[in-house]
Amino acid sequence: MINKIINNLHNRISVFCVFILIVLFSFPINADNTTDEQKIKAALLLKLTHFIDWPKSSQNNSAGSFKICVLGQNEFGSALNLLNGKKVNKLSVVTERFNNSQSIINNCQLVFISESKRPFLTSILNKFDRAPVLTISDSKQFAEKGGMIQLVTKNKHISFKINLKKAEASGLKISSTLLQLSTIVDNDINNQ
Amino acid sequence: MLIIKKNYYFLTTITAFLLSSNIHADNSVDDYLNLPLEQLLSMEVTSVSKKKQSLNEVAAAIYVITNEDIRRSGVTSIPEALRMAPGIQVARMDANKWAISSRGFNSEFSNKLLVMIDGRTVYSPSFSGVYWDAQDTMMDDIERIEVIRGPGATVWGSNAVNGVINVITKSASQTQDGLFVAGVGDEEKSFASLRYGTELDNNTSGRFYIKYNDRDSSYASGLKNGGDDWDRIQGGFRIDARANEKDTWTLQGDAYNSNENQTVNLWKDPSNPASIIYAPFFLDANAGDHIDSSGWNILGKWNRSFSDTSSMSLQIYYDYTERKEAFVNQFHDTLDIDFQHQFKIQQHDIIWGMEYRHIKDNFDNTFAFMFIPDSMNNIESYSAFIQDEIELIPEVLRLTIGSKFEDNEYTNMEIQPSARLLWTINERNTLWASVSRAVRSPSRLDISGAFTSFIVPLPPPAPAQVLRAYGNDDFKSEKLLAYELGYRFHPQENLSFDLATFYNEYNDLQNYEQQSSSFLSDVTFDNNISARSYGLELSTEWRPLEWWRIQSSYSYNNIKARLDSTSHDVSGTDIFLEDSSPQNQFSIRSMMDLSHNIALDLWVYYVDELKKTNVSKPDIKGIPDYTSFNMRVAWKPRKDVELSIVGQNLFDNHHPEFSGENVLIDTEVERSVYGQIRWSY
Repeated sequence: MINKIINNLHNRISVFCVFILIVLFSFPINADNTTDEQKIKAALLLKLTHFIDWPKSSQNNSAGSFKICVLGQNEFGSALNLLNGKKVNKLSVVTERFNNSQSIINNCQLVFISESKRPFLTSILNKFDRAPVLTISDSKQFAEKGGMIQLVTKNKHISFKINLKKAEASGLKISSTLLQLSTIVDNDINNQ
Repeated sequence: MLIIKKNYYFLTTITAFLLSSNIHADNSVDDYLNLPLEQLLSMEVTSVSKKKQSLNEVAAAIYVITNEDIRRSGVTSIPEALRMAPGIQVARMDANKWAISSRGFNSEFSNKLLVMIDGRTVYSPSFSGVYWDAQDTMMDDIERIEVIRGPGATVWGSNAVNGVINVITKSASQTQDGLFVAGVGDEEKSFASLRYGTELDNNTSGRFYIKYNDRDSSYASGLKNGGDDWDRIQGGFRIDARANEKDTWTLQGDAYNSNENQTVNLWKDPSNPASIIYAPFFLDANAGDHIDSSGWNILGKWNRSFSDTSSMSLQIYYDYTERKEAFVNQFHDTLDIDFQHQFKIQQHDIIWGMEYRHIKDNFDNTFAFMFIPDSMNNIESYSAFIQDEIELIPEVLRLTIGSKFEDNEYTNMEIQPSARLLWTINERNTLWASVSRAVRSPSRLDISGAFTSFIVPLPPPAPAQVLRAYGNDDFKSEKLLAYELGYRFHPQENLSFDLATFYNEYNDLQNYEQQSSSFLSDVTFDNNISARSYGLELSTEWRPLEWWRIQSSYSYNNIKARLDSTSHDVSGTDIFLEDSSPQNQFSIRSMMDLSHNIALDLWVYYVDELKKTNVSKPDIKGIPDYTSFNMRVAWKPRKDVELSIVGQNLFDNHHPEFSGENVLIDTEVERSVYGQIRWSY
């Protein structure tokens, strides 16, 4: 049956007509190809900053901007770019992507570490040790391994795991509102 | 009249489908930013949990051809795209035929490579090789082509001896828009493809595509042309859905029809009085022939995740192919059921699975080519595998051991184990090693094929002597024991190296055994060749500037084959195995994003000489080495439109790449230029 239809279609003129007509009829419906999850996660990055106080010292390095950095594969798609120009503590957000953890420490206030960097997580986090950089990831066991905020997707909802000790050691203050919405991780597996 | 009616029917259906699709109210990032945090956290997210390993973590020689690579290389087919992968030998025999192999042993009937499109095996059960002209999809919807050199039999199964090629298309949720690509050229005479994707409901997305290619004939010395022009139409769909938080499923299918010309040498039956015009050799040389190739397939896959660390999948597909040409007509029905279960216990990540495959074949035999019997209704194979990935030292040292157990129609239980060790030294250095065994189980041709290899004229009144090659009931699996060692080095964030080396020991390789000591003897398929091969592949990726990316690869390959001392084979198959693949291959690609939305892409590849590429053409003249220059210039006048011009084999009128067996004439690949428009909407 299918072969018959195809054989019948196999006529260049009719094929051409089919193409043209399909193009004409299938008008733009949805040109955006970022998923809702990507947008929600991008929005969360920015939202989280409202609940966190950075030490004064960290703002001196960034020349009037608030830098949100993504290390590894960009999991936000084009949603990341839409954060540019938004305000955090009166600073303008600038997003930037890095493939490697070098040269990132004094540059960014917030670093999202992508799943693609999971094999090197421990060594990357060691580099940020005590630097006033908010580290966020959705990698498994991120908070336990010494990351500050882990995005956990469970039952279709996103929640947070926060390694409070790590955040405080870096001089970041996390508001109690955010802590109430999160699971606190205190068993840092690196210290076990 | 009927044709037009059917087309209208088709159009109405599609139009109705498009108009009925809901316009999806999409939230923007700003909408989400305006929500309070609590509400943002209460939003539902529906994404499939990722169990993708990063390339650095794979203890195998893997190379990934990305969607961007395909687009920027200017290739228009899957076989041509494979030229980008190191360690893969791609040779175009004529406009619609390719000889493709991994780590050597290339031939018109290359058979040690497992090729899959979205998990569906596409090599032909007739000879365990691939009819590349029948394998296609919408090129822009290919997410990536994973190319694994070396054995992958433990997980993937038989035929994954020298490599696995897995073409993976995007999920329907990633193609939520329309795309129209069309162009014209001298070799790529005209082509057009159209995809449209949309959300069917909140948790379900779908797409369909249709594509058409019309390709010119190749160059043939002494003839007007290769007589191998062809056109092809293919359509398909894919639906991806998340039924609930645990279950996702995919349903996809394709159908195609291909009209191909070819110029062949056809052996004629001397006992048939009508054949007398072909005396004394009874060969119809340079005969025009037509390949009618069509087929369809449908695949369903269901994934269930039990927890963060445990999931299963069930995949079922049905595949029908037919191929009619002067030598033989072939019809195949394949049903495949595959189940896999993955779970974690402490340091162990265990995956096991079972597969059942049922093949029904049917042949219209000719004097030149036969399968005996001409139909088999129940070719069955059962297999199971188990693999354990053990974190010996978390994040540093990982051991993967496992084995496949397979019971096929023609040989006994085949055991294909492997052990792989991955050492992540630090963020910049990864070292891996492996030992594995793989087999190529016999194909229908090895067991029960019968084809005319030559007709010898004898002095009258003796009739001409027909020499044939016969399959062999006792044909055994071809076996490989492979040792691999690899190193990945990432000195800077914009520079990386990937080196893979191998040493392979092959046993019971196929040869043509003489049936008597007479030169005028039939031959049978047998397993009397052993071989050793070694080589390396080095690929590098360098981004000297934000807008400039350079990729290069070098492959070296050395094969030594030896005929058993008891064998009477005079076909020269052992020499052919050594000489049919290039020792050296080199490729360098430069991709530049210039100002004014112009992209300039250059690609140069070198392929070493081939001394012998067939066993049946007596006047052996090899294939000289060649260098191919390719260029693409693309301009994006608007965000949604791209215009491009692609030139292939620019500095060369035509060059040969491979000379198949004596039934095929020799043709050459010509310079090609085409222009293309790409419009997403």
